[in-house]
Amino acid sequence: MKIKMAETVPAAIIRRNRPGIKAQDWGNWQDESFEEMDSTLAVQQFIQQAIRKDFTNIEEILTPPEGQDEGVWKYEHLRQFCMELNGLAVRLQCSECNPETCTQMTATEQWIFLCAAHKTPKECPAIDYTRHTLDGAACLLNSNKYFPSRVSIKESSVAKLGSVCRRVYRIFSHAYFHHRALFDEYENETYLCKRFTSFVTKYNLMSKDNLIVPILEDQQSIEGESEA
Amino acid sequence: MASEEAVIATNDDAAQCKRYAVEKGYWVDPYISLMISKGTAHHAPEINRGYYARITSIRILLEKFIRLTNRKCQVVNLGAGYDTTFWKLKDAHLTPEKFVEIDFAPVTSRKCHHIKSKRPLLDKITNEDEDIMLSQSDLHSANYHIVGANLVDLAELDKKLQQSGIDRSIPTVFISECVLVYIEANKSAKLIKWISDNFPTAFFINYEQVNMGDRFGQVMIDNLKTRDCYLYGVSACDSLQSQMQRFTSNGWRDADALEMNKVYNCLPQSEIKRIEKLELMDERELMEQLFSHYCLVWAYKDVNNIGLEEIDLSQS
Repeated sequence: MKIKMAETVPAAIIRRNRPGIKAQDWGNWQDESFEEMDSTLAVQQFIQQAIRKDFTNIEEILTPPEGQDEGVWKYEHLRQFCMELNGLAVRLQCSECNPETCTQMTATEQWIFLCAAHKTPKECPAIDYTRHTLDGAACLLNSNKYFPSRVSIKESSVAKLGSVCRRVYRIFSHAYFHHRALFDEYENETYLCKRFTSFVTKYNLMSKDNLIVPILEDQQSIEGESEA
Repeated sequence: MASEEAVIATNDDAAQCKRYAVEKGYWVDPYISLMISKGTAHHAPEINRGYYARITSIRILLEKFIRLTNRKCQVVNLGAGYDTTFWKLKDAHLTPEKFVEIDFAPVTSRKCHHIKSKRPLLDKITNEDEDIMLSQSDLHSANYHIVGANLVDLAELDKKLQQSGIDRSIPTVFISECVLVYIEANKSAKLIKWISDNFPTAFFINYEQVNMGDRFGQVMIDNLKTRDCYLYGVSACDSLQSQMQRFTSNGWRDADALEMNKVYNCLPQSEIKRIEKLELMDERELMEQLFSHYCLVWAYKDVNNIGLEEIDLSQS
């Protein structure tokens, strides 16, 4: 009997974006089960796959595969958030957030933030603060010192994630309180702030008091305080 | 409080006195000159020695607490004014997990401004993990926090401590330097009780007036009155006994108190010899009289028995 290869072995799916790929085809390949993801980047792949499938289904995106190490899970999500926050940063930079209009990093009027990216913290304009903070987060999350492996992460390095969350969150709050239309547009396309807020709440990475963007339905309205 | 401004002014006085003594060589503090301008007044040697004994003895107790807890502790300075202890601890690699300063908002906002605009101050509160968050009167950084609050408003104090991320389960030392005496004794008692109610492992260092019932005390009270500054809490400063009792009757396990003459004799004698050569003193009695009207009080509660009872001025 002749064996026809094509009938018995399905064609291997190559999950790769080739040069010249059309935008609508970007990352447009078949899902893979977590067990089959045979790489050190499996967790990232799993998260990105869930986002691609339905970015509004936050609960599913934040549900780890069984037996997943929690430190790695938090790390990979935060990495993904930082990557996607760059999208928001680009929109801010390309439109109305510039050093002349937003001279300081503020959310509500009450607090200003000094940018920690400098030897002596500086009162950077909001857009600079945004870029410096995302760059700083990328440096930290890719540093060999704290995160030499993406398979297991030391407890002392996991402890660093909370402060990265607190810092990058300010990009959301600045956008929300100062560039509301732009924020809403990006949020509608990504649910990024909703997902971030659910994430830091689920894993206790930020205190509720600091979550000043009222994005989730069960979040207490702090509108009154924001005007203080 | 009738005259907040007058109480606030006592901070400028104290800071200027400290700067004066530092410049005379009594102790080293590279930061006080960044907080307060040079005063024009001349201060007598007994005043300088008094400040020396005050800051040195508080530092001894504080450092023992920090070392005992292996820096896993919090420091809360009530009515901190322009105190520079945080920066000096940082230089000595003795930074606690959290250092919170509380004072009236006009004081804290001025201090925030100094910190923000002076690099040696700003650099030391900088930490690569945490930004500095700044409002009109409050500032939060990784380890150092300063907040504006009135110490008689316990709800406000609680809120500000929470905003600073205070963890009540961690050993915490409270410091007050000539602060409680400006608050009615029943209100400072409430503050002292609130702390013992809320912090299972706590130490309190209080420096202030004592033996105020005599002629000298009365003159001090009258002098301050002419500056619109009232010692509302002086009843607790009647004796060492009353100073200790305000703690032991408000939930603290034990308290100790020493007149500053005694404290002075407990300090490292080589240092005392050194500072006594800085400025000569004609009448030692003046100093002794002054020192007998100030005291150092410390109290503790120690639910987990981590050894707070061991902390005193003795030198190991």
